[in-house]
Amino acid sequence: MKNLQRLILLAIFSLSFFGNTYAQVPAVDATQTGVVADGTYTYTVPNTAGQSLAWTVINSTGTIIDGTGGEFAMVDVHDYEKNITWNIAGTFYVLVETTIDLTGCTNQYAIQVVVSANDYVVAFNTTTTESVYCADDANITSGMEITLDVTLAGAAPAAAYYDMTVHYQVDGGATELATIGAGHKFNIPGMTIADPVSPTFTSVTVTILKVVDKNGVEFTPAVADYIITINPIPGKPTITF
Amino acid sequence: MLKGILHRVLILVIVTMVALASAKAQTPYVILPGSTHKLTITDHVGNTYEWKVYKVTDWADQKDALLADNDGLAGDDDFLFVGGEFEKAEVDITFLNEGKYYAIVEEFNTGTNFCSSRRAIPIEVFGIEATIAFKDLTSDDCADLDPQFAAEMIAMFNSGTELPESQYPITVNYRLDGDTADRTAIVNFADKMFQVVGVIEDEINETINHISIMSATNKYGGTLNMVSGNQIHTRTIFALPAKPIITVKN
Repeated sequence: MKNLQRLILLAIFSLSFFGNTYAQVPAVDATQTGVVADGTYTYTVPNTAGQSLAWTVINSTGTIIDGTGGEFAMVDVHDYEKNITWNIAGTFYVLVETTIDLTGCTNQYAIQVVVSANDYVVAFNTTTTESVYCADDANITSGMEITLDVTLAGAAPAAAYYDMTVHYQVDGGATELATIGAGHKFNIPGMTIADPVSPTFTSVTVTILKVVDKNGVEFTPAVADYIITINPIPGKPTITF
Repeated sequence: MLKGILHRVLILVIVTMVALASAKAQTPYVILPGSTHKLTITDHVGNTYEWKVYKVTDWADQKDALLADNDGLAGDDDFLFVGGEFEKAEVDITFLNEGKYYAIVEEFNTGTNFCSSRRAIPIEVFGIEATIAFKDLTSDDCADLDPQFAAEMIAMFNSGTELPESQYPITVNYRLDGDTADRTAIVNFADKMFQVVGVIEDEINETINHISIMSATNKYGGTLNMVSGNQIHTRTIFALPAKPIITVKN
């Protein structure tokens, strides 16, 4: 009976031992840093006639993953070009193996992708953005300037993340798009005030819907609305002789 | 009547058994030319020994008449006693040429009574019957910077019989393209694989290597002949594709 027990234990142990797939982290040819979760990148290899390509994504433990776990999403652009959106933080490997159809000989290239969490923070910079305008201010016509503060993990984002696109609304209107560089400034559309003494509106609400960095990473401010006050100017003073 | 038939059958069985026993006793040891074999009899203290080798035209000629110049000592014979030693219980004899031989040892008693006894064993030295060849004349691989590979060999007697395990290991002398001296490899009975070292592997350009067997000998130094047309193996090493360098765009 004891022997039977041992045999069963041995069988279970063997099954668990051989059931594992011993994966391997590939030898790395290059490293891609600065990838933020939700970012999308295009990976391209030379398109060589007579050769076939196989793309593989491998996680940090060396296991081949297909994205069904939500780690990434891959879109086939061509056999030689893939768009990959990295959904979660972690270290991954994109491995491409090319095979000469005639001989079956292969070669590989692996790029390590270090994905960090989406730690973008965006807010209105109230120091440099005016919140009060006189109704005759030329900036109202040309487009009032908004300045945002954008940080990534507490620091200024690197140049590789720019330009960014700001999705916003003015007074709940249509979604507007503005491009910002490292200065984080953009101008809302110009407005016409026919009578600055009696303007038809005395405030403008700018609502940031989202900001999207160059790699498609989206982030939103904690406080989305910024209110600009428009003060009427006094009526023309009449000088009487 | 039945008794007579039984009697005849019994006689026939006995004759057959004797004949078979005799044939078994006469079955020669088959060896290859150039091989050196150790022949041994029990060494009795005080006794002396003398070995002789007779070359015969057929196995029935087990007699001294053909002794002639076949003492193996003159240097121009069909065999040689290694080290000139032929008066020991154990001797090494190199058989140089094809033929049928009897190796005979005579053991003399100690003292001066000159009593002796003889023991003979037949030895057949093959000519070109034993051969070695590549199983496959071509092979290919992708360049992996490992300059060695293994090719399976077929060593046979002319009759199509595979060379027995007793003849292994086989020593193969070979050359690669451009070699001016032989390289050596050992082929074992278990896998019969010939480990070739020194193949040129080029990841950039396809290379063709020729492996030519120059000579081969069995365990005892006996010669294995090349099979014409099957002594050169061509190994093609394919170039690798260029690394598929990934360009990242964002």
